[in-house]
Parts: sequence; C-alpha cells; structure tokens
Amino acid sequence: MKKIKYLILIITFIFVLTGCETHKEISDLGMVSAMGIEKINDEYLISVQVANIKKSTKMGTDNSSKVTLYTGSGKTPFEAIREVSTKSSKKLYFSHIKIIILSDEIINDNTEEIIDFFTRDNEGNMNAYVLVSTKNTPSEILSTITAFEDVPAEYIYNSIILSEASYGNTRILSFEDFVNFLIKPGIDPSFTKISLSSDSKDKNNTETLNAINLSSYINLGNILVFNKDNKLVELSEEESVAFNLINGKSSNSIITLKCDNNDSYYTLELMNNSYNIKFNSKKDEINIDLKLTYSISDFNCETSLLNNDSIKKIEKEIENKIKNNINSLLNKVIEYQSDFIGFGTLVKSRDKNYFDFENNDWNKDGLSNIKFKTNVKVSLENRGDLINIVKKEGKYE
Amino acid sequence: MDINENIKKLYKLKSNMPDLVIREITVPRRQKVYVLVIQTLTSEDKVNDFILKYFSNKDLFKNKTNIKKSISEFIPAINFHEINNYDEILNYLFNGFTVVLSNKFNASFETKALIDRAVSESSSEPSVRGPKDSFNENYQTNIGLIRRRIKDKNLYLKEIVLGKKSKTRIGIMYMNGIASDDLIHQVQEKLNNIDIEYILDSYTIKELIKKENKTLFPTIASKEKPDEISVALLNGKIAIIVENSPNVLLIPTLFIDSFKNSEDYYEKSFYASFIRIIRLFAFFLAIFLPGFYLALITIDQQVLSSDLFINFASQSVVVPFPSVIEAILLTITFEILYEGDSRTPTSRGASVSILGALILGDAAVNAGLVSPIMVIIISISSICSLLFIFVDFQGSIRFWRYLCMILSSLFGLIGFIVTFTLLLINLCSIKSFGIPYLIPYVPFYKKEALKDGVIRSESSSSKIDKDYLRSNDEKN
Repeated sequence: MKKIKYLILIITFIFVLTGCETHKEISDLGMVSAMGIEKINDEYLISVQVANIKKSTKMGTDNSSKVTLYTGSGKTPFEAIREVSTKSSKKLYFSHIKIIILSDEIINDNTEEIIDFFTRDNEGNMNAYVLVSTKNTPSEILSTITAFEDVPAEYIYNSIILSEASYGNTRILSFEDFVNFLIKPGIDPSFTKISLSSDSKDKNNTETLNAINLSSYINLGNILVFNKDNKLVELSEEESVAFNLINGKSSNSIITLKCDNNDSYYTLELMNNSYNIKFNSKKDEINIDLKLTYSISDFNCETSLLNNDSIKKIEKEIENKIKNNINSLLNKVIEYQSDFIGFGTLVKSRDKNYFDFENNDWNKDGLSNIKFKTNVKVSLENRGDLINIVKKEGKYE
Repeated sequence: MDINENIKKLYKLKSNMPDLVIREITVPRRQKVYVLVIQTLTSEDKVNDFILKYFSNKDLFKNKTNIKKSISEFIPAINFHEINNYDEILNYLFNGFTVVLSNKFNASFETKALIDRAVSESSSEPSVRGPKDSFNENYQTNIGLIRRRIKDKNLYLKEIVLGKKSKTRIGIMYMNGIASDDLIHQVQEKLNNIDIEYILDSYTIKELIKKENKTLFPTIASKEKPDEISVALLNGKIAIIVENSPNVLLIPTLFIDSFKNSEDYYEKSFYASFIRIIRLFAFFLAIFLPGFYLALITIDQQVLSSDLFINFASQSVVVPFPSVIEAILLTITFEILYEGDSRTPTSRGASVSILGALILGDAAVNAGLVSPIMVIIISISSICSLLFIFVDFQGSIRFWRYLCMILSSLFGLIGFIVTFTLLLINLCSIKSFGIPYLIPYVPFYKKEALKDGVIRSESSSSKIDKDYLRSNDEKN
C-alpha cells in the first residue's frame, strides 16, 4: 500500500515537473543558428539563419547550401518572427541560436523592446553572442557564405572566440551580459563590430565556395561603445587592444613598433598577462597595474639583442606605447561618460558606501571624480632562435 | 507382507506396464523367488551378471538353510536395501533397482542403466579459461562434480523428495560452519512447505521459493558450472541440486553476482576488475541508452550541441515514423532476431545472422525506414545486455529498457531521471533471503567491497570470510 502511494507521488511529480513540455521530433525542428534584427521604415526586419537539414549524404558530394535565410517584418519583433515562421515548413527552434546581430539603429533607439522580446520568450539561448553591424545590414551579413564551417553562424562564433584572445580587438558579449550590463549601474555594454570586407554580388552563391579566393569575408572588430548621447561610437584598434589588456582577456595579442635607427618595424607577441586593478576610496583613485611578458616574433632593427641596455630600451618603449593606448582609452571613458570597462562594479565591490548607485547617475557624477593611475611593467622573455638579424650575403662587416 | 498377494498385484500392474519384467525362479526346497525389474530403467547386463547368475548357481543353496543370509551376503551389489512394504517395491523399481521377493525376505539391488548424457562443456555459460565441465541431468553426477572439488567433511548434503507424481530428489548443499544457520533454516523451511504434483526442472523450485520480492532481478541464480557452485559454497552460499536438472540453484544471489564470472577468478585481478567495471558500465548503457537518446531528440533538444543537433536531425529527417515508434520497432525486431537465433540449430545459424545483418543493418537504413543512428543506439544497448549470462538478468534489463524508453519519450530528461530513481528504489528494496540485494555496497562493507566486489583484489581466495552474508541476529 505504501509503495503504491509513493508510486502515485512519483507519477504526479513527473507531470508537475515537466510542465507544458511538448513532444517535438528533432526532424520537424528548424534549428536557428543566427538571427539579425534591423529596422527599416519603422518596421522590424528580422532575418533568421536556419540550418538546412537534409538527408545526410556522403561527405563532400553535396554542394548545396547548408543554411537558409528567412526574413520577415512587423511592427514588433514578435510579429516579424511570426512572419518568418509562416515562410518555413519547420517549426523554428531558437535554443541553439549562436549569434545575434543587431543593427546600430536598433542599439541606439530600441534596445528595450529587443531585450523584452528575448527575455520574455522561454525558448531563447541566453548564451548567444551579440554583435553589432554598422556598415552592412544584418541580413546581408547572414547571407554570406563562409569557408570551413557549413553554418556561417558557427564560423562567426568560432572566430570571435579566437580573435578576442589572439588579436584582441573584439569582445565576447553574451546576450545575458548584454541585458545585465544595460540594466545594472556601474557597467555598460561594449559590442564587437561585424562587417563585410566587400559587397560583391556573388557572396551568397555556393559556387563561390569552389573559388580559392573568397570574394567577401566577414570582418570582426573593433569594439563599439556608447557615447554621451547613448549612440554607438567605435574605438580605435589600439584602444580596443588596450581594453582587452586591462580586462586580462587578451592572452596573446601583438604589438608593433618602429625601430630607432632604421625604417623597419618590429613585432612582439604577448606571452603572459597579469593585471591588477585597485580602487582607493580615500584618494578617489583607481590604480591599474599591468605586468606583461612579451616575446620577439619579428625583429629587423640594427640594435643588438645581446645588449642588456637595448633590451631595457625596448621594454621602455613598449611600456610607453601601451600606457599611451590605455590613457587614450581612459580619456574616452571620461569623455563619453560611459563606463564600458566596468569601474563602477569595481568601486561597488570595494566600498559599498562610496557612491549611491541607486539614486545617482554613476556615469555622470561618479566617474568624473575618479583619478586614474596606470602602471605598466613589460619584460622581454624570449628573443627567439636568432641572435642577430638576417642579412644577405656580403653585407656582413 | 504376503508375497502372493503382492505378486498378484504386480501382475495386474504389468498389463499396463509392459516393461515390467517378473521372473520366477525356483530355488531348492521348492521355494520361489521373484526377480522384478523395469526393463527400460535397468541395465540388463547388471541384472544378468550379478543377480540371475547368482540364482542359477544351485550349489550355493545346497548347504545354506537361511535364504535371507545367502541373498544379502552373497549377491555382489553395493547399494542394497531391505523392503518392507508394497509402496517401497514400486519406489525402488521406478528408481532402476532390481527387486528380489521371496517368502521370508525382500530386497532391492541397484542395477540402474546409464541413460544420461555425458559430462560435457557448458553451452550456455562458455568459458575460455578455467574448468570447462558442466552439470548434466544426473543427480549423482552433479553432486559428484561438486564433491570432487571440495574434499571436506563439512560439505553437508541434505536430501528431500518433492513432487507427488515425479518424486524428485532435491539436495541442499552447504559448507557447515561457513554458511549461515539462519539461511539454511529458511531454505529448508521453504522447501518443506512446497506442495506440488511434479518438478521437472530446478526452475520450478526457484519460482516457488522466491516469492518474497516484487522484482525482475534474479534473487536466485541458476548455474551450470560446478566450479562456480564450489566457489559460492566456499563463500557461504547454499546450492540446491534438483534431480534431472542441469541447473543448480544458488542462494542468496546478490546484485553484484551478476557481474561476476567464473573466469574472473582465473585471471589477473587487475584485468578482472577492469572487465567488471566494463560490465557495470554496459549494464547502465543497456538500460538507459535508448531512453536517453529518445529524450534528447524528442523533447529536450536544447541539451544537444549544435553539431549533434544537425547530425541527429539530418539522420532522422528521412524516417517516416515518430522516433519512439522507430525505436520500439527496431528493438522488437532485434528481440525476434535474438529469439530466432537461439532457437535455430547451429547448422542453420548463419542464415539468421546474414539476414539480420543485411536486412537490419543495411537495407532498412538505405530504404529510409530507420535512421543509422537509431540502429547504432539499439545495437549498442542490445549488445551490452548480452554481456550478462543470467537469462533472468537479461530479462530485467529488457523490462527497464522499455520503461526508460516510454517514460523518456513522454517526459524527456525528467522521465529519464525518474526511471533511474525507480531503478535505484527497486534495487534497494530487494532482499534475497533476508540479505539486502545491493550488499556489500548498500549497506557498505568496505572489506568485502574491495575484496570481491566490482574491484577484485589478488588475495580474494586466500581467506574465507563472508560475514555480511549472516543476518544481524547471528552476528550479535
């Protein structure tokens, strides 16, 4: 009798726990991998990249496109989505969405509507990366064919992860962070710009995949932030790299400098990045301490690398350069009154009572009172396998 | 006991039992001796050589006056019994004895014919290493095979006869001093309470004494190999040997026993432990894999990575059935194939496997009736269940697999988790003759768990200590 009671209890639990979960066959679902939202003539235009799932064939024989782009428009985002749904024979499935591309007008004018739409729907993927397109429309970008990956969204997703670490001029922003940063005082979102390198006509033709030189590429970078009037502005490449250095996100970005005594340049690669940002509430001061280790990857100067003084000199030069970049980034923070680095969060965590985040505007009143102090320490660790620079025969003295 | 009356009864019986032979011999002093045999059960050579030859030698009777003495002392037979009533006459006749009736004295001599098959290699529990002999249908042989391995006076054998019609001999074997008294008592009591017309196989006994649990997992194992039974006896278990059955029952049987194989004891402990871990892994795969897959592709697709999603979807897009139907159809086809294969004589077995491999593996996929991934999932799950020799254990895996498939396809991953919980509840609630089924893990006995659990240590045969098979009362 007791056992039957428990069994009934368990069965009740199953029904309660599963809720309104419905049965949906995997083959009846259209997997949405990317979504673009733009606004044309006061109407939302939503383009959705759906994986074109067909009967699997043997590798390499199928030359057809692996994705299909559907677009729809409406006065609200949901109305636009509904129009997209009517065009697709499969039920659109948003849980696997990888990237969301928003046009800059949307970010400038209608962010709240978009956030409301995404967070109210229980099926979205809050881990999707948010990118912003300025030059090209989202639908243009999403209809580009890419190499390596069958699904262009996958291509963008992977390259943004790679470029944040190696090049350092992009920034990963998940949709969840995007919403949090917008709502929370003390930090503002920063976006990665996405654009096409050329807008040639054949970009969405599968034949282009057979060409060795693709006619259009997807370009990522630089970082976009809000300015004083809540409009998007682009940071320079050097500022973007400096941004990722302060955050410790960039693990092997590079830096290029000019030689002293000839017209050549030399490049160094970041090997190790340790950062420390401290807030001193008594002095209203934020200390940024960076300890960077670089290795030489490219060197064509006349300076001898065996000389300790010249190494010191190179280190000094890099320090100055990075310091300058960081300072110009910090000037932007003050100028735009936009705390995209998140100093407010740091201040809040160190000293709760320093600033009243609830009732005052941190970006206007708080940020301008803060003084910044930057301290960069660079050490050169690896000179590579060459002692001197390579010279043509006969040029040696 | 009146001899003439008995003979009259026997002659009456003979009209319906033509293989009953009644031979009348006149010995000196006009005395009559009757020699009775059932021809189909006895060896004619033995009867001729030892009994009839003796009576034909008239010299033997010349000086003797006491026929009783002469028969009992001079007929060369080791198995000799006196008979006191009519029922005993029949009992001995049916057991292949030769019955000698005379005025003053009645006796029976064993002259059984060998109508058994020889001790051969086990077909249902094949092994690569270790002893290969297995039990056959002869009760004496089976006991002999065990006694040959344990030459100890403490190996006790208790006999009872069950079945009103079949009069089957049942032997309860255990090691005195090692097996728990409580357990022996329980088993004997249960056997004595059996009221049945006939017993043809040990399976009948098994069904009659395991009623305590509502489960499909085997709480009594039936084994075919004497070396496995011997190990079990030495570890404090009780064996029930049933006449005419090659399957010897083992009590108690725990969950962990299904993961053990006789070969484990003849191999390096490292390898044996590794194989046992693989078996445990296979057990879970066999039950949960199809259900888990169904949960992922019919309800909880968000758990999949994008690559897997595209892969699974592109494979199932051509299949005209819902995935649940596809999975159940494929599983049932496999069951049919499996049943067909086990019923087919070896000479025709190849045709079954060719049909199965071609039709299931290739043609069905090419025809678009099933997806390749579903064939893979069902095959892995089915092959995993074949690792277990016990037929009962396989059956329980089957039941839980179907339950998991149904609940998972209805409720997704929550259904899957509920099946897992139900399985755990069921396993934890079972007892085999008072001993928790999951012992030595639940409750946990560290020494036994490390010695001969999923992990087998090298010294497991050096010392016999199975304290956990005793009930709590005995320990205190």
